[in-house]
Amino acid sequence: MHQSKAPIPDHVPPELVVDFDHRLDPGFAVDPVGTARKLYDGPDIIYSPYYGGHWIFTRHEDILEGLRRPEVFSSCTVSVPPQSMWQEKLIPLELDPPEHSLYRNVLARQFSPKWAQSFEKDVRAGCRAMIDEIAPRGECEFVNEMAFPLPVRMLMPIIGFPVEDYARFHSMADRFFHAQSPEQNYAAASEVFAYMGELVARRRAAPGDDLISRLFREEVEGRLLTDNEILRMCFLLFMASTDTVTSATVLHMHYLAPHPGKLQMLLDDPALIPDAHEELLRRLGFINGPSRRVMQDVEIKGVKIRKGDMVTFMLGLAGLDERVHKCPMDVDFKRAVNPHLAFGGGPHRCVGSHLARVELRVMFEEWLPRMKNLRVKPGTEIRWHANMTYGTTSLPLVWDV
Amino acid sequence: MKIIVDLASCCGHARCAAKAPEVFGLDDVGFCQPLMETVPPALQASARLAAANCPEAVIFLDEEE
Repeated sequence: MHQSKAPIPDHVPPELVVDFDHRLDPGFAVDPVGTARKLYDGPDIIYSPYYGGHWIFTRHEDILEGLRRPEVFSSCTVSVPPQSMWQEKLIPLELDPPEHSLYRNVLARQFSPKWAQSFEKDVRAGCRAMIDEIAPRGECEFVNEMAFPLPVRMLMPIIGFPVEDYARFHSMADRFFHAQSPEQNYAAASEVFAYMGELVARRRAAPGDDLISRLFREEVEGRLLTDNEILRMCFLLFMASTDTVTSATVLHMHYLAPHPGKLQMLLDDPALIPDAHEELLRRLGFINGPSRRVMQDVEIKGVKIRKGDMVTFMLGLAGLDERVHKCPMDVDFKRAVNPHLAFGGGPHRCVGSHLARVELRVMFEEWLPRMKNLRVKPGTEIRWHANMTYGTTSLPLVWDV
Repeated sequence: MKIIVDLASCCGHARCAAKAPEVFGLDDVGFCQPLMETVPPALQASARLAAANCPEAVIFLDEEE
């Protein structure tokens, strides 16, 4: 769907204006990485007229600086168009430090590295059960049969999302993440909030052994969290549990399947799997955001940015910045230096990253050896979708049985 | 080699502990916790790797010390 363009403000130099829709550019459907990478032909900081008009930072160093200066680049608005998914601030997504830190710590304790490690055996058991069932068939539709259900079904009971609502989660996630316009995003978000509101009330009435139920006992500033605050945290938990690990798993598998040499490296030496994922997270960065609101006039690389402006950081693109990553388009599982920003940076860095890394590693450790001579089903044409993240909703794979 | 970490700016990526587990540990929520002040020669290469892989670039190694 074609988005409308806003008038260019007077303080934006015309030479920095680029006709680029960072969420739905038509090029994303054909070549997502190449489409984003074309921005490197132009200036480091550009201005896009779409979604009300916003600056776009394309370079690793500027994105990192922006993420690390919340006093200048505020999370009070985290997407463009600058309209929240809800009438109240999402927690902790739309808060800045120091308020942000209070809530963030609650989630950071839940999703700590130690907890992620302790969860590994469950993830491994889940992966084995799934591949035991699917491997003998010699084929699968990887997105909907493996990459979505494994992490989502693992995490739903931990968070307190009823597993019997799995199909509804799949549908809500599909409509939210694969929306063709911001309006469709808002519609899907309202449905998620209505659902979560009921769920929080149900958990309040009959708490279980899950994160939402534990949140009722968590305190910030010496008082218990309210149901309203927990609801506003649930949106992050919904987004984090239904898209990101799935997107990474699909993209990494989509890369590996037609690269038998790279696949064999991982089969010969599974200890390479963690670094392989880090490299693919860098090379296939799939997040077209986030955005921030500028709180004071600021000059970055000679570009005057005004208080009130919106800025979008192209996180996925940062991994392809040749000033930080040597030969950025190469995929090198033994790349020694890889300080990528796939999980973001600054105070809002992905709180689920430790869990995500365990899941990505274990899925590939358990699945790759069971899918001999793995390849994309012949005749398949991959269709990419974009928006806040890019990916595909279908990846048919075949292997020898 | 002496380790100086800007702990206030660490955002908990945990890459240091992955790259040099003998040199860097993590606290309960995943923030950097150096396990030593001075790095013995045998661990210096991995300490350098950890510093270079920190996405926030908050690990400094004083090679003079």
